[in-house]
Amino acid sequence: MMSALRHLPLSTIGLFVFACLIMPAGGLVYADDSPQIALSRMSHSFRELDYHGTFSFQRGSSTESFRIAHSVIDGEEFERLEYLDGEKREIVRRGHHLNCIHPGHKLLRFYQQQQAQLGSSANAGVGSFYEFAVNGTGRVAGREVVNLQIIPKDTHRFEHHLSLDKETGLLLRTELIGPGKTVLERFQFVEITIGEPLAGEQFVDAGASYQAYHTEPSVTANVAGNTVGDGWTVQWMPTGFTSTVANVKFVTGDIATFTDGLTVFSVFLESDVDLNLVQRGLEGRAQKGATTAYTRLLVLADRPHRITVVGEIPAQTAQQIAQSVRLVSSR
Amino acid sequence: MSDQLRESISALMDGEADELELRRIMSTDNDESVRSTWARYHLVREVMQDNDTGAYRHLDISSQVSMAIGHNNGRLSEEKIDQLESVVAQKVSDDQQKTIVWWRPMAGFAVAASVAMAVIVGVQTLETNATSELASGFPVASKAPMTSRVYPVAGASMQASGGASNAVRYQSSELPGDIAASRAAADLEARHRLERYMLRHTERAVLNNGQGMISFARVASFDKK
Repeated sequence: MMSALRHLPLSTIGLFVFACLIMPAGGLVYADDSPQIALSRMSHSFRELDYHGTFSFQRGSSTESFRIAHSVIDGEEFERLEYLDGEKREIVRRGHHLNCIHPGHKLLRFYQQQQAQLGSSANAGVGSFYEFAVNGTGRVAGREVVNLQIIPKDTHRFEHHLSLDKETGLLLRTELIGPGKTVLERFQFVEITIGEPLAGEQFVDAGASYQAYHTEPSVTANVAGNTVGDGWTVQWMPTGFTSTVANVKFVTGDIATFTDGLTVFSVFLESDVDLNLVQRGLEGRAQKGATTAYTRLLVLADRPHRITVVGEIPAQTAQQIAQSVRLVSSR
Repeated sequence: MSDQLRESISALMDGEADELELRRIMSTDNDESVRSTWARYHLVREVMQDNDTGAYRHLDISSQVSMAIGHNNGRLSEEKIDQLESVVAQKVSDDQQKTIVWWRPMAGFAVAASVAMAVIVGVQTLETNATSELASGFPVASKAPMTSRVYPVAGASMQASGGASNAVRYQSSELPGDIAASRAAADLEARHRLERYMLRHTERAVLNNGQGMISFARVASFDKK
């Protein structure tokens, strides 16, 4: 099914999905060129299309170049990202099934937004936390683009400026804008080829590869249902964020990741903190481009724990999130 | 101000001051000139490095700390600690908006308010990309980005203020001479930990931010496997 669909133009798929969902829903319609539709297309295109090209990534005063390749082979994604500057290294990911839909993608996709409009109890999707505006058209990497401006409704997220390929919906340029209209980081394709699949051999490790880890979006047995043992929770976070791992009452590992569809942050908890190191820092903050890392020690159950929040969120939000981590015991 | 004192201040800036130099600086009669020299050296360093790391330069909490110490015979009341912390926190958060520097520890701010004796030390030597040497004649020996940071000196106690109900105190038995070494180790450890976290965060982010693989560009380095 998927492999057949992927050869259709994406707009056809979009319309097909549109048609399927709109009928029972009762006539709530976005215009075909609306930001919501554009975002929904974006969330499909970067996974479902074949493309390769080079892009630059800019943050602060530094610029780096990358080569990216993405192919869908037998319904599975094959991806490679090469760092073109400095030490030779690359990231390879193979065999990510197209049917494997993560919570973040769902939030961007059209039906979720529509469910929200209809007052469903499902997470409302990005439409509730950002304002959208189409900001004209332009040209990026030699292709025509539609510019989208996505402005958060609260101060816990950054503003996004996206340029999406008119024909395919692929993201060709993105800027994250911080307070005071500062550009925190910028991705921009320099050149891109769309629709020419590469063979599987192109995605073999080159000896300097990192195989990216894949987290299952839903967890089977032994986590949610497991009532033995302890875990932890994040008691406060901005509205609209959901766990990237579904159906979990509390976290049992050392990491929990949350997404609102566009913005993602992760919380790490360490319980065995070396007190000698503790003395060097109870609290610390790091900032690189749009990425904030905030670390602090909290005494939980009479023992020092180190909590670190990493994400593309403002520092103060990271701080608030970190302070709300609590242990839970189900015994 | 003597050249010797100036050299001591410079050494302190670079994290290379020994106990004797620390004492020399702290026991000086001309407190104001030490402070202004301190600020000026940092300004020189920033100008020479042409970087944007001076966001905390104006943040001088020393007077508030000494005032608090003076009023309480060296012991700080809980109330005073809270008050100082909130003043500092406010200043820091005001400044946070402007900064774009990776790894800016602010450990010291929480610590400073609760130590009986504190000295302000501005040293942070992570992520130095410098290749060229500095011109001679300036009292600057390192090209590392600078951040303000407060370290407890001797017999200091620290307070971990993780919510009002669960504060606890740790006793530091460290001598001033050990500080630089263990601080460097801790900073390195902290940086490695952050890089690991950054990679793990990004692995999950690329699956959930609607933008995919390009987000890996945010991860500067990683262990091959």
